[in-house]
This record gives sequence, C-alpha cells and structure tokens, in this order.
Amino acid sequence: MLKKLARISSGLYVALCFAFFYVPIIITMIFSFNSSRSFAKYTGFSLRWYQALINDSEIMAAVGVSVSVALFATAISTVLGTITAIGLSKSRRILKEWILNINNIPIMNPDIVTAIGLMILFTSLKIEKGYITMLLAHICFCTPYVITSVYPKIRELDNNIANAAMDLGATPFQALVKVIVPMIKPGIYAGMLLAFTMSIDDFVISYFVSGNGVENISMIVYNATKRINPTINALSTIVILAIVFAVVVVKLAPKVRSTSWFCALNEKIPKKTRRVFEAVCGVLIFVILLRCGGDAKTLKVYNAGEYIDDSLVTAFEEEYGCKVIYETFDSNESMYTKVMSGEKYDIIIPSDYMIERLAKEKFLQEIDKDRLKNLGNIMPRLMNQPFDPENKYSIPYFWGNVGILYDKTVVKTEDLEAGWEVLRNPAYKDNIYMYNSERDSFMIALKALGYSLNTSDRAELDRAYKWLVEQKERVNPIYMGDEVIDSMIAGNKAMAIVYSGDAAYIMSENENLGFYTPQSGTNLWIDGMVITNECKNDDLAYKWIDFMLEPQNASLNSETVGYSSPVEEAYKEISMTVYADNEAYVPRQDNQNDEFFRYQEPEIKRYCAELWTKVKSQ
Amino acid sequence: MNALIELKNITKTFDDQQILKGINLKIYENEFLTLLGPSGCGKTTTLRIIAGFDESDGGELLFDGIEISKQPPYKREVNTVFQKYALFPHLNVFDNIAFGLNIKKTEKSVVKQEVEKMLKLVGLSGFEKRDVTSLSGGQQQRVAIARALINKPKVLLLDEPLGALDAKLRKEMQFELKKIQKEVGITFIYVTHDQEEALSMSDTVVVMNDGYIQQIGTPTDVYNEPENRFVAQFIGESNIIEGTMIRDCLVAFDDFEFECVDKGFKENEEIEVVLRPEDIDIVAADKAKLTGTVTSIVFKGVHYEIMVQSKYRQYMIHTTDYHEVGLEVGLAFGPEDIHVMWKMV
Repeated sequence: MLKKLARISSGLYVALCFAFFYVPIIITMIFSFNSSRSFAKYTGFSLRWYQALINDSEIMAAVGVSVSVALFATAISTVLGTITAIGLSKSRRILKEWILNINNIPIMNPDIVTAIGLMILFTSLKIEKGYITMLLAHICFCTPYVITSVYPKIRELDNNIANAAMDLGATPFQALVKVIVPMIKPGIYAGMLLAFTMSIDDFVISYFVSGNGVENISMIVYNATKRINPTINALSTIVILAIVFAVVVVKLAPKVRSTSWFCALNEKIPKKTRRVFEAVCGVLIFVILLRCGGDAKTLKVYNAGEYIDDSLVTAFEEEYGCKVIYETFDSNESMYTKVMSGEKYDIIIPSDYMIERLAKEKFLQEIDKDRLKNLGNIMPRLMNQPFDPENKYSIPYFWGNVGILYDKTVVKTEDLEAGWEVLRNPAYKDNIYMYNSERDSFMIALKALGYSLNTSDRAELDRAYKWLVEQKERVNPIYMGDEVIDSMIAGNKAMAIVYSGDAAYIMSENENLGFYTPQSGTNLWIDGMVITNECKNDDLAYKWIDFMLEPQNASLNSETVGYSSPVEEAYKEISMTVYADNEAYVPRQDNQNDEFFRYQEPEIKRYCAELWTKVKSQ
Repeated sequence: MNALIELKNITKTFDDQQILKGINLKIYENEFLTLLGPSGCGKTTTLRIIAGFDESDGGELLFDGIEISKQPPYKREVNTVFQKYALFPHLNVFDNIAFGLNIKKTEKSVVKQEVEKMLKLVGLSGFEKRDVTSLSGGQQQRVAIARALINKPKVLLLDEPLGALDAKLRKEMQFELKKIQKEVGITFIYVTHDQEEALSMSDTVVVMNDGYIQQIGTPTDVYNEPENRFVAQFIGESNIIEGTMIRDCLVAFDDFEFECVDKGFKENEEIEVVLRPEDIDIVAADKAKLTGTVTSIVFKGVHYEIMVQSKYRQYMIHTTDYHEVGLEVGLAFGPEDIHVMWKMV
C-alpha cells in the first residue's frame, strides 16, 4: 500500500517536473500556429507566422548572425580553449593555479560587467562595432567555458601519454591530433556544446558590443517584447524542433552506426563532408568580409523596438539608393547609455523628456526647417511643445497619452467619473494593473491631486506618495511592465494603466475594452526624430524625416504600429478606417490639464525613486 | 667493442635540485643493463634523457658514436615501456600496437602481419579487438612491450615496468622479459629499485645513489664485491665492520687479525669489511676467534636469521641450523668470505 503510494507520488512528481519544463514550450508551439496575433486566445490553425517569419528580413538576418556567430565563436573558442588547457597542464603549478582562477572570473562575472568592459575596450580602441566585435566578444566569453571543461580531462591523462606517442615516432603535432585530442574528446565536446549554447542565446553582451545594425535573435526578441510578435513563436518552434531532431540523432546514432549500410555509407562520406564544410566556411567568411566592407551612402537609425513598419526601411533604401543601418533599443535609458558610450547614429527617435536631455547635453543638431518640405503635414497642435520649443531639435514621429484601459463588462461607467480616483475604488480590489514605473505612477497620483506632473515641490510629491500608498492599501494593484499588453488582451483584470497606442492595439484584439482619460489631466507624449551631432550624412537624414512625414508612409507606419501619427492626413485616415471607433487611437488634444514630461532634475528624480521604492515595499 | 650508447658526464637539475651529478656509462649491443637504486637516485631521469623526454643540462649523449642530446624522441632509435604503460585507451589492442607503424604510414598488410607477430611474441594472440582498458595489468604490460618492440628499436627502455604487478606475476614477467630480450636480440635498459629483479635478469647492474653511479658490474660482482658501504647495504644484507688493512691479505677488526684475499690497499689504511650473513658459520665458542651470545633467532623459511652479540657489535648470520638464545657461540669465516671495501667519505 505504502509502496504503491510512493510510486504514484514519485510518478506525479516527475510528471509535474516535466510539465513545468515543457508546458511553456508546448504553448509557444501551439500559438505559433495561431491565426490571430493574440497570445491569449487561440482562434484557429494557420501558418501565417511562419510565412511572416520567412518574409521578415530583419529576423532572418538576425538568425543568420546568431547562427554564424555561434558557429565561429564555438569553433575558435574550442580550439583556443583546448590549446590553452593543454598548455596549462604542462606549466608550473603557480602559473596554472593563477590562470585557472583568473579563468573563472569571466564565468562568475555578471554578463553586464563583461559587456560594458568589452564595449569600453572596443570604443577606446576605436574598433567599429558590428559583426567582428560581436564575434570577438563571443569568443572571449566562450573560451573560459571550454577551458574549464577540457582541463579536468587532461588532468586525467597519464603524464607520459604524449611522450609515449612521440616515443613511437609521432611528431608533437601528431601526438596531439592522434592521441591527446581523441582522449579528451568528451571534454572538448562538452566545452563546444557549452560555448555554442552560451553564444546562441546571449543577449546582454551582444547588445553592448554590437553595432551598425548587426543584431542577433536575442536582441530582436528582447526589443520586440513590448508588442510580442508571434513570428517569434514560429522561430522558437523551429529552434525547438531542430533541437529535438539533434537529440534524437545523437541518441540513435550509435545504433544506426552499427548497421552495415551505415558503415558502408560512412566510409564514402568523410571527404565529401569535409569539402562541404570547407565550402560553407568559405561562404561565411565571404559574407563577413562583405559585411565589413563599408557602404559609402549609409544612414544609421536608432529606434525603439517594434516601432516601425519594416517595409518603410526597404522602401527608403530603394528610393534613395542608400543603405539604412537600423537598430533598436528597449527604453530611452538604455538608448542613452549606448549613445553615451560612443556609439554613433545619424537619426535617433527618443521620447520628449529624453529629447530635452539630449538637447541640453548638446548632443543634437539644430534642424534646418527649410530643408523639410513635408513639415507642414504635421498637426500644428503637436508642434512647439515645452520640451522642445520651436521644434529646434525634433520632429514628431508618434504621439499619444496615458489612460485607463478598462473592461466595459466589469467597470461601471459612473465609477469612471471619479477620474483617476477610480483606481482607488475598493470595488476593484485585486483587479488593477499599474505601470511599474515611478514616473508614470507619480504622474497619476499628481494629476489625481491636481498638481503638475513636472512638480519639484517635495510637499506635493509627498502627498502623491501618500496617494499611492493608500491606493495600495485599498486595492492592492499589480505593478507590471509591458506584459500588461498580453494580460489585457486576455482580459485578466478590470483596469490597467496603458499608453494610448498600446491601448489601440489591445482594443483591436479585445472588443470588451474601453479607453478612458480622466479630466484632471494626464501625460501627453511625443516621440520625435532627432539628428545627432555625429551625423555624417545630413542630406540623407533630412530625407528620412521627410520620408516619414509623407502621408502615405505615415499612415502605413501608424497602421502597423498602432500609435497615433502626427501627420494630419494619415491620422485622419487611420482614425476613420483601421482604428475607427477606437477611442485610444484619437487621444484628446484639448485638455488644458494634459502635460508633457519634462527633463527631471537628478535630485528630484532620486527623491521620486526613493518614494516609489517605499510604495512598492509597503 | 664499441658502445651503442655512451653517457659522458651527464648532469641534470630540476627546480634547483641536482638530480644527476655526472653520469658516465657505456651500454653495449644485446646487453641487458639495469639501473638500480632507491627512489630519487636519478635512474628514471637517466632513462628519460636517453629516451629524449628530458634534456640534460650538461655532458654528452652518444648513440652509435653520434651526439643525440638535441634529437627529439620521435627521431631516436629507442622505444620505451612506461611505468603505468601509458597505453592509448581510445584504441584497441591492435591499434595500440600498430601505432608506431601507422605513424610511419606502413602498408596495411605489413602492419597486420607485424602486429600478429608481436602478439605471438608476448603471448596475446587473439586479443586484437580487445579494449585495452579491459585487460589485466599483466596483459597491458605485454601490449606495452609489443607496442614498443614493433618499431624494431635498437634499444628498449623499461621504466619499472613490473612495479604495478603482484609478486607472483612479477616473477613470471621477469622470466618472460629475459626470454623476449634473447629472442629479439636487442639492448634492454631496465630501471628498477628492486635488487632481486636486477640481480636475476641483468647482464650488467648499475647501482645509483644520490645522482652518482656507485658501481657498475655483473650481478655477482656487485653482490660479492660491493665497492662501498651503500652498495653493500642496498644489495642483499650484510655485516659491515670498520677495520684496518695491515698489509695485503691481512685485515684487522674487532681486536683480531684475519687472513683475506684483498690486495691493493695502503698499509694500515682504514677500510670497511663486508661479511655476508650466509658466509658466517656458527661453531663452538672455542673453535673461533670471534665469540658472542645468541640474542634472537627468527625462522625465515629456508634459513634462520640469528643475531649474535659480540664484544663490539651485533652480527647477523643466516644458517639452516638452530641455536638457542643465550648460547655462547663462535663465529667462523674463511679468507674468501671477507670482502674489504674503500671507506666511504
């Protein structure tokens, strides 16, 4: 009886473990065949995302970069690491111990430290960032893993094994190839596998050391998390299937190899495979060299992830016969870090307060408005805003505000009349998503209290802090990042704080939702295109801005991304067609209480951050 | 006769420690030569210098009259059998033995023939496909010998090859090694710390200690006529007594004068005398110059080991006769049983 129980419970335990590992993977695979964009609702089988994947040149290029960097980094670091390990085993004890200890540092080091270190190194050596720097960085962090997995195998060897081979007539190189390497093969394979895995899914280091538009899959996925793109599911599914295939092959290989037909086959293969391998290497090296060769007419654009219709980039390249190096960031702050580290761009598309900061730090060129023929297309209401009066440095790209996204079937209309206070209504306890960002949260509290969201009055901030603490006590909201988009598409909670553009997109996927902006005011924002001081080709930069202000292009962009276009014609068109009856696409423009974020003094910023931490830890 | 290998004043230092302090040695064709000594005496280093794994700091190493100190091991006409065999675990018995020939890109059919011949020589026919890690110590040993001999070296170097085997197997392998050496007819240089092994197999024994060669000679020479106290003590058991050489063939120790057969010492020179325990007879107390009391008697199988306390020292005697503890006895030996050595400085 007891035995039976033990068996059942251990079985259950194993089943749970497997479920924990594999359910997420299976869900990803299922949703890669979803006919709609949603991650929450399965609306039917379709290969749409696979098609999108093949057509998505950005992702395919990233796959190419990831795979080729991983292959090269693995090959080079395996050779380097193995040679080092063999050398170490023959060196003096003190040297050996020191090097092995030093070797462990990069392994234990947080990736971010290695990343920044490498970035600074490349910048200070004036090595242009791109494929080569990424490859070098990958070799650099893969090699220690190879050393650690090969070295113990070498220590297991008989001290005389190399001598024995040389004694029998082998040159040192023959001894290495015919005796040492075959004997430490398990260690080398383990190291290779580790190196490949580390390389292929590295994000942090690649992010900091890459440049000039060279991006790997991790970077694309990470920057795309704001608006999760189901193409990623399709890609993940393919990767998973490839891994399953590899595992099956490895498992079956010993059995298959023993059959006679395979032996016969095997004897014929080697030379051919070697030739194929050489050819592949040759092609890859050629591709790399091509990448290194600079293009005379290029424009480097730095934009938030999932914030453009990719076809516009291609169209621009074709129209002006140039090359656009397009890179993405995940937040204004990480963009700032990268730019300050010396990475050079021609065009950047930051948010209002960041534009103010960059302008203040003399990082931007003044825009010569005579050179923009489409400037008149922009809605006048969006020009001359306090963060950049007279639009000296920036031209609007997208705009919107922040409001409450609510479930019409749950939230009563009369409750909404309370404005921001609805977020403290105990009726919606445990049913609210707040944005996990101090500035957005304080904006709500300040506006609820009737203050300016750019206040530097500590008394006002203290009162806002109290407002937030009380909110937490009353309704216990969940503080969330961009995951809120998917959660709201699934209709998980009654209310959420959401940016208007995201709200427009969410509402197009879930018709039960409405968007409400309280009368007491909210945060209006504009993301603008700026030209940096480093810009090498200002003619092309102006053309880019003009291109984006072309009504046709602007409406295509706005339709894809879901944010409101500043171009009057495009805005009107989209609000009447694609996002008709979608109140989030048409943020109000006439409320005197609405404000833009301004650059915050560091002292106030710190103060807010402290208060925000206290709110969350209540 | 010209030496096949000649070491001239070879020195070697490791980490500030001088391991070899000037080795001079001639090794001839077909010779079974053993380097014998305690651990740390430099015997393995000497072997590794001959093999080419280590380079000497000074001196000359001649092979067939040609200096080879700078030659890498793979160019030397010697092969080595290592202490722990150093077989290649990723290769089977056949491929291990064929390694040297395969490196030389020998034709497959020749390799096969040669490997079979070697397997027969070491008594492992039929083991071709076996995994070397599945073999017993003795079998691995044979593979190691075959792997070395297949290259037809002029000299085979063996570094304590029997060290890892049990006593009985070691005896068998000693016999077998000697047989193989006679069959292939090449020089063996054998390193061991086991004096019995050295005495029973070698044509020449080289006794080493502390980086120096102490004595070179046939097994009987080094046993019967050790050149100094170290050799006498290291090889076999002995009673070593300080004494004075009165003149040729007359030596004095323990208050008496004894006739002996040793010559060539200065008159009244301080010397040391070796008396092997089996060369001393126990007789009635009044029948010998030296007398003493039996203090202990231990049965050793073939003989008894008896300790006799005389006026100045304790003597060890090996005899097949039993003598009771406490008995007063005389110790007798003939002139030819006395061996006189230089006194060690």
